Amino acid sequence: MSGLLEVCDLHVEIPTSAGLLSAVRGVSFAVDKGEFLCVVGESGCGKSLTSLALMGLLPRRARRRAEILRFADHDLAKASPAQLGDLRGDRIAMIFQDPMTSLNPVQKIGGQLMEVYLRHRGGSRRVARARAIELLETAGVPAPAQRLEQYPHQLSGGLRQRVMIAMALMCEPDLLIADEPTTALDVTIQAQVLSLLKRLQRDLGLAVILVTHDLGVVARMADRVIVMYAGQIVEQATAEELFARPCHPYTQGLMRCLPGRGGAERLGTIPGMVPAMIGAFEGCGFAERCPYAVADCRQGRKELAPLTATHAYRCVLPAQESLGHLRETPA
Amino acid sequence: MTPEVETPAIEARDLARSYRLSRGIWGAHALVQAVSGVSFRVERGTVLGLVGESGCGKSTLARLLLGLEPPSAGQVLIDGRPVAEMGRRERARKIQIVFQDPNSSLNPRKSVLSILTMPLRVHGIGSRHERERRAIEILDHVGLPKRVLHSRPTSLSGGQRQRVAIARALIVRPEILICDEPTSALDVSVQAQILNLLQDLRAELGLTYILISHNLAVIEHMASRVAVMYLGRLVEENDAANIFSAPRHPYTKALLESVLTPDPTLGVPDTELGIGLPNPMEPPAGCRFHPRCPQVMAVCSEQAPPRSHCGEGFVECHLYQPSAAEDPDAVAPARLGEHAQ
Repeated sequence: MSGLLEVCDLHVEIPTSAGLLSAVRGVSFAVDKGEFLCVVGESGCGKSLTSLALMGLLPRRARRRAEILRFADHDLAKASPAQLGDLRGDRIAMIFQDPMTSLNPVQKIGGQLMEVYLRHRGGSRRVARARAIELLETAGVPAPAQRLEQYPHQLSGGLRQRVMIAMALMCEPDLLIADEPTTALDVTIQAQVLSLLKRLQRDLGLAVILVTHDLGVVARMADRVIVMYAGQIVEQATAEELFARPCHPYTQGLMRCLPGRGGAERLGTIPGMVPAMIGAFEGCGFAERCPYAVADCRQGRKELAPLTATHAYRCVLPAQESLGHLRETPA
Repeated sequence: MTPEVETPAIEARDLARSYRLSRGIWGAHALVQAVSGVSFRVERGTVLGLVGESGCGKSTLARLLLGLEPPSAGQVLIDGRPVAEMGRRERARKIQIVFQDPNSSLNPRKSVLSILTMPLRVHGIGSRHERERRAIEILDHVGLPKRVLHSRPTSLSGGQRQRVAIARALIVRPEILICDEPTSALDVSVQAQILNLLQDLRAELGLTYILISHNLAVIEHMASRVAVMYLGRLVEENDAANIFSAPRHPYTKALLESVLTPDPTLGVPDTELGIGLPNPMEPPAGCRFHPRCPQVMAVCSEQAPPRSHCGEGFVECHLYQPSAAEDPDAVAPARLGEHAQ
């Protein structure tokens, strides 16, 4: 079947005083119903702007263009603000990193939850209230009825993020976009919130796009993974494929950076910095930092090359057989 | 080096700090125990990793160690001397801190040179020329080129800013460096660079670190000893190898289980912990962890667990108290077996 969400050649450009910043440069992907997709990359790689572009929530100055931007049978590229407003919160919902800044600090939790439902489904406040209590319970919030009368500042960070999740689910969306939903949380709470997301995806057949910089989260959550660098997809694969055989030098570099068992040995690093992405751009965005770069890397347009039906990477190098050689640290 | 038992670089003896909070105009004052009964020693040249959730008192502890505020009870000793007896400047030359977010800890309107030489000016060290020479020297140590000297923090990347923050802390040549979540605000590739830098500096300059982090992978990579903090108390302390291979306290176990290693064959762990920290203003009676503990027993809500020594460290939990449970040997190993699965 054709996917729930289809994005083809998405560009986001932001005019700045230094020139035109091409923050997202030709991103294409699709999400199926019930699929868990992770988008991973470091700050400035365009992962958050990609998700905001889908929702039509880009900063005012930013310009978006795409060949295809389709959600179910809606053309998001042509949708009017009113039509987008109807979709947002109803069919597509979004959770942001910091629940304190996305909840209204001077409105009670209950009002904020019910507002979403009343906006899209109408009906009585009593029904909306019952739905709010039901979803707070689903999201694992203890004493849900009392919570409706509380303000966001009275809840802990973990509870606030659960409230955000409950709010996102009020209208049973088909697609949930979560941008770093657990980055601000403690590790034990992060594990709880993630397992909640995973359970909801399974039980409700929800499609999830999880934007994160944490490869640990990616490995445990994703069906499929997109690795972004400098506004482009540099590698996409199923989670198993990506961690068994990362092919793009950037993906390999990210994996070498992870601290963990192994004590005092030095961590791998990626030297250099992300390119400025202002103005026209030639060659591979990673070439300046890549240990394997050759002259050819700096010219022309590099395409995503398929390795298997589900695994593709954007690099002129042949795929490595395994990560084995990366684990050996030079003495 | 002294021939007898070596004095630790820094030692905390039964440290406590409480704050009075007012509850409205008419309400009685409430006492919050942010830190209580914390003791540890950090040997010269080692790294103590301090872990715990937000609000557990890690940062208050850091402030006490720095002497930025006086403890309500107990004392901090640096090189065997009480910090309370030291002057501000002397203290600052012994112990320094690097904060989490270099964006907010560096003055955006000052040049890197001015930021780096500020501590020297405060301490009245060297001539103008001499101070500049030391700034260049320390920049080299933290792996920054000389040309950033006249840049402002805003024109540097996040990793470079954190290097400047580290350089500023080290320019007065302290012996001890407290790193409070030094890499939490950074990308993974930059985090790796900063962690490598901290390791190199420790070896080169013989520094002692107290590394505060909620990222256990970072702690495991860096620390020689680990202290686990929960609601103001240390609940377990031991060699890093010991903590990571055989955690004893149920809270330590839960923390370790929550670490998401990049292994796609594993799902998200279920830690069986309740949600969030209890109110620090009304800490639970008995063991402070008991409302969230998956291995809770009757005694836990009544008595605070005493310290049980194990190996080079200790744990504060009734499970390891032979008198507490009817048959503790049956309880603890069975649970351990479950975790091993």
